[in-house]
Amino acid sequence: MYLELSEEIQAHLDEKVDELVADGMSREEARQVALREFGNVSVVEEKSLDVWTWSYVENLFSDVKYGLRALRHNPVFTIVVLLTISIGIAANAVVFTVVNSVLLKPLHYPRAEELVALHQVAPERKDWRILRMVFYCRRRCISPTPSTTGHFNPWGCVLPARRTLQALPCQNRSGQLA
Amino acid sequence: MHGYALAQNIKQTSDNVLQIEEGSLYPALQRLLKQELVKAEWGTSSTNRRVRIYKLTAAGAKHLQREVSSFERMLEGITRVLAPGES
Repeated sequence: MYLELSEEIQAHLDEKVDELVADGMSREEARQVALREFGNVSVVEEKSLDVWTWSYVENLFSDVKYGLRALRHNPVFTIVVLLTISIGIAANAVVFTVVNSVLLKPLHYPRAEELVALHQVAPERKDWRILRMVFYCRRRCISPTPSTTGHFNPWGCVLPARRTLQALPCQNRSGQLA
Repeated sequence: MHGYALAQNIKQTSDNVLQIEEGSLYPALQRLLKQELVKAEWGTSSTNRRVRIYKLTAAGAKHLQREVSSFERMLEGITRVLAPGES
């Protein structure tokens, strides 16, 4: 539409120039007179196109009003749709909150990416179950590869000897085992 | 009739009394197009130029009739007010 309008305006100016030249003016002077009498070409183009952009906005408003009126005439449908959408949004929010706090958020300890959990691997004996513990220690203390020496290790990874596990510094915790 | 010819026609028919401001001609034509009072087609002018020719639609003709009759009523009113012999 912009190109059509541009072409139209140029044709208008060309025709005016031709008439002025036929009346005896020189071509450059005719061009200047035609442009001066027309006004600012870009401003005219903008004003002409504004007519249509406003119509898009007006159409949008009238479409919205029509939609609202239609909803008011169908209250059951409106209520069902509103409930569905709100339940969907609420369910999404809840699931994301849970997943975020359980899986995605890092633990409240410094350098949490170094922490690993140790689990017992040989729980066949009943008394092992009582002693089953899960605790965290810094990855630098252990290497997480399974033992290959044939030596039965109740822990699933190799622990260095004589290494004491230190309590991890925590912040903002009260009354909990780290 | 296309834009420039419209302006010239009005100027000549009214004997130079009514002169269309060329800068407001095209926005006005776009407004008429938007309200579907005219329709536009590309064609060739008498000077062998490619121009956009505007034609009145049926709705446009009705609108014109309404505007003309309301203008004539207003003109009549003004004439009566200005007529000599009335105080």
